Amino acid sequence: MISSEHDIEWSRMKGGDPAALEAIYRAHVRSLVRYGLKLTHDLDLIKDCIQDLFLEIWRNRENLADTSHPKFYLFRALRNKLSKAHARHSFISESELRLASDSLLEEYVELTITARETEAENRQTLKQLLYKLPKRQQEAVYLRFYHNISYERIAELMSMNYQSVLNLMQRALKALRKEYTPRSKKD
Amino acid sequence: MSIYVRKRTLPYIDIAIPMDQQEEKIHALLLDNRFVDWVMNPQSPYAGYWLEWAARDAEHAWLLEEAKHFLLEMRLAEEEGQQDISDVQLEQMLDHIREEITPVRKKKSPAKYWYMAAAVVTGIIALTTFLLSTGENTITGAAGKKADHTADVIRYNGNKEDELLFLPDGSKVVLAKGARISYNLLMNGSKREVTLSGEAFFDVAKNPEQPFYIYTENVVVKVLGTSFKVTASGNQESVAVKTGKVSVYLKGQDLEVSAAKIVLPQQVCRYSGLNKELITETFTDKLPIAAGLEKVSSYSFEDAPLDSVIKTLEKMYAIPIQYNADTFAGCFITISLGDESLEEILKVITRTVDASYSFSGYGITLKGKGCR
Repeated sequence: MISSEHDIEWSRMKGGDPAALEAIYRAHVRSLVRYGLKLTHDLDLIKDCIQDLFLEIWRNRENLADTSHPKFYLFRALRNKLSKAHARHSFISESELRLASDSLLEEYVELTITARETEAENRQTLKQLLYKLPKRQQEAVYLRFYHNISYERIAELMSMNYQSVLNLMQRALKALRKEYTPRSKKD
Repeated sequence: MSIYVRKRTLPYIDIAIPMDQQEEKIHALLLDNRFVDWVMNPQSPYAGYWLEWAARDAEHAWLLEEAKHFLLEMRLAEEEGQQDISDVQLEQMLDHIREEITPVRKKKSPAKYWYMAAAVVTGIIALTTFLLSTGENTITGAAGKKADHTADVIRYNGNKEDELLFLPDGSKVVLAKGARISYNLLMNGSKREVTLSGEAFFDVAKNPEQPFYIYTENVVVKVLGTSFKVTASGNQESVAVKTGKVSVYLKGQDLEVSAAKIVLPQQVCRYSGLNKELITETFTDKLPIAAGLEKVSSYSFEDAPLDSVIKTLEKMYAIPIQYNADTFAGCFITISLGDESLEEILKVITRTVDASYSFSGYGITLKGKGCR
């Protein structure tokens, strides 16, 4: 979960301390880049948006609300930025998102992989599968399993309803578990 | 089609279930906020709940283990599989942000300097690269091959003034504003290797057994002897020598085989990005950054509490030192820090207070019985 230390940094940053902005940057930038890569493959765009984002935060610091979840705030801001910047290209626009969230399209990718025995192979398989998932599934999986962000919050972030997020995750899990060999099978 | 979703209700109570149902139960766990929180959050409020749930039945315990294992595997896959961005790139982004939010903006001077200098015992080197990136991730070929590191220390000068740093081998570095250096935490490999971007001035401790290498975007500098002074200047990157000598290689050259540019006193070796070659000329400029080394070159303690010495050491070398403060509370020590290698300093300290030290990838641990 998000430690309270960041809340303090956030307040200090709002008070005009550039060192606090730097601390927030260092604490979250890698996660932000990774998150960005779930939304677009354009790393340069992600870098630009993150820089813009921190500059905007700094310039508007006096008007920013207090947040106990800076990470969530940053994720949402980055998503909005990327969405705007990339709307005409490969990024899924908000309207498309809404459409897709209501549809029940089967969208996981079928992968044929020969049987594997070791854990390392299992992980290798997961790695491959993870990046073959549709972007929105990757995004949801990343937020839920990597950042422990609740489904309610993910729904908010992705502008989807709660049930649609669960459906999205369910599809992702199906695809991932399909090729995954459980450690010890129970009879 | 139908999608099976279990929301906010407890997973199952029944036993002896077929495989596909087992799978559904694992899905249900993975789709439960409380389960994921328990696995990922050490302070999870749901810990008690899940432990109780697992204790209820062997099937539960297995399901919980399996789902947990899968989740952890997923996290590892995510970590390993991600196309990554280098620390250098992240620092560059931060540089841009800093530049924008700092009221007074300074233009970068078109030519910067790298210096190398040496006293009889130590060599002093200063390097500047015009480019801010070191290309840490683009090192290729033999000349650029670095040993595998357990833990790298990255030190960055975000201050307005030059900053003096101590390296664990006893070398000193003056980092100019915005410069960054990285090296292995203990610098105890067969070579001493640092990666540099920005402007810096090195005072390299003599140690022929462990040659000192400086990697930049385009070149590798090998410090040869003990008495040399090098300046690098130019459009992109360059090294100039005042006294003594160093070798300069292009990245990718084989250090053992290929001919390096040996740079001699009053010579400057310039990297030409256009032709990807090194050009040697003479130079006469002074080295203003060298002044940074004269300010403080060591810290002296007289009959000081061990605690304050340790705190200074931690700051000087940017290395965590673990020890029991209560045990060593009665220890006082007279010592001068900064002229010896970190290891020599530790030997003196541990001899004085009858303790022992050990290194790990995370830092240094001191052990002993104290002085009372």
